[in-house]
Order: sequence, then C-alpha cells, then structure tokens
Amino acid sequence: MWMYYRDVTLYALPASLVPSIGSAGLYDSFGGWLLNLLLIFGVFGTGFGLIGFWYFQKQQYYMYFNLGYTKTHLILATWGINLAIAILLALFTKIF
Amino acid sequence: MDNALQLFFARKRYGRKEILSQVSFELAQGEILGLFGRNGSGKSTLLKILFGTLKANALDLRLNGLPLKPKKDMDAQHIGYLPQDNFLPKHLKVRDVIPLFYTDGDEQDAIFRADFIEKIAASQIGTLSMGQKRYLELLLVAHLPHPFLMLDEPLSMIEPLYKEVIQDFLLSLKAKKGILLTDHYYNDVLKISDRNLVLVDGVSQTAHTEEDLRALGYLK
Repeated sequence: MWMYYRDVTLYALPASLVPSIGSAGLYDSFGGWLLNLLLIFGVFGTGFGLIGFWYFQKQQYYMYFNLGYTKTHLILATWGINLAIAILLALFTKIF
Repeated sequence: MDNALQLFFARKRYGRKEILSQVSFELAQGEILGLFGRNGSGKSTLLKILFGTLKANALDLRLNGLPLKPKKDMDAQHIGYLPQDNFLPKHLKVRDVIPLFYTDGDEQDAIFRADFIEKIAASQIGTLSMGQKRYLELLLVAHLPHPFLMLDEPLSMIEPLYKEVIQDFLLSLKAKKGILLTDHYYNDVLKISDRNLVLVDGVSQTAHTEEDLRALGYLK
C-alpha cells in the first residue's frame, strides 16, 4: 500500500508543480504561491499521479488486487493522505 | 470443509460481439481445471471477470453456495489471479518484493526457501528471465490465502527447467487450492489437470483427452 502511495505521489508532485509555477505570476508573495501549490497538490495532485501510475505502471495493480486492495481503497487512501498533508502544510504556512 | 466455486453462468459482450454466452463450471479445492480455447475465445476475459477486474454483462458465481461478487469481495481474497503480463515492479530486487507480499517471517522464508529463489534473491526483477519472473510471480500469488487461483498462461514462453518446477509446484498446491489453469501448451496442462473445459463460440464444453480437444476444434 505504501509503495502505491509513494509511486502515485512521485508523479503527483512534479505534475502539481508545473501548473503552480505556470501561475506564479498571479501571486505577489511566496506564501500565496505556496498555498496555490498546496491547493493544486491536495485537490488535483493525486489525480495527476494516478494518470502517471496508470500510464507507466498499471500492470502493478494486479499485485495490489491479489493482496486484497481494491482500486477504490488505494485511490481514496492516497488522495486522503495527500489532502491531509496539503491541509496541514497550508495551515502551517498560514500560521507562520 | 473444502471450498467449492460454482459458476452457473457468465456472459460478456463487446458491442455486438458476444465473447462469453454460456459458461459454467464447478471447481473444488484440490482440483486443477484446465481451460482451453483458441485466441480470442474469451479465456482471459473469463479469468478477469472471476477475479473482479472486468465487469460481466451477467454473472452468477457462488462460493459454497453463497453469491460471490468478485470486485466487491476482492478484499476477502477468495480468488487469486496470475495475469498473462508480468506485474512485479521491475526496479525492485527479489528479496525486496517478497516482504511486500508477506510480512510474516515464516511466510517469507517459505518463498526464500523455494527452488531457485535463493540464487536470484539479489537480482532485480527486470533482469530475470521470463521463466524466473513467471515462477516468482506464481510463488508470490500462490502462497497468499486465496482458496482459488486463476492462472493465465503460467507455462507459456518458459524454459523447460522452470516448466517442470512450475508443474510440480502446481500439483503440490492442489492440496489447498482449487486452480483454474489456461495455457496454449495443452500437453503441459493435460499432464496436471483433473478436468478440462474448452471455450467454443462463448460456450464451455467438457473435454477429457487430446482427442476431445480435436473434436471441439481447439486442435487440428
């Protein structure tokens, strides 16, 4: 399960960075840009990561299915963790 | 009590083309059921349906008489599946893949102690031969708790040495599993199967001998 999370998130991180760098001009502070990055990563990042995993490693799903994980379980767990990380980091950014 | 998997019917169509129309069988733990059919006859489709990764248009599958929904019940690990294509992460070493499947030390040892595994333990999956990969995947899936195993071409493109090891392993596995085995190397399947089915025009037919396979149009 953690390997799936790691693999999907490794696609999700650069895929989230690209649009946030593209829209960097819209923000007048680093904090604003960082919040934008965290929003993209938390909400859409896992989706980007899933596309990457499906394109390059989809055969590995059979390993997880044999271990008793459904695709829904894998996706929801990955998305949930990434969303939670994004919210925590966003709160941290806001506070400090 | 030994488990029994009963397929009363499975139907699958792609557009207008009906791949599976009247397919049924019963498979008990302790049996190997051979499944034959020409290319495109629906063998892999049937295995994917039973495993839960492909939706059937209609399906009545039961485990010990109780309805089984393969996709919904995947987490209960009733049915294991060895797909045609390799599914292990290529960048990992054999010794690092085994703990992904088994956290218990004794279970890990059972894999490490299997024939040939010690020799390849330090190798990356991507560098293994076809036979080594297939054998490793089979070992990893077969030791999981599923009482039933669907094996899609475990003997194809395998060097003879590994073929014999895989056949022996499948025979030893019969004691605790019911196995549905499909492969174009029909002689290798007939050697270890207890009963056989042939898919012809979406319908499952019983076959006992090579002569039956010929009569059903699978062989010339």
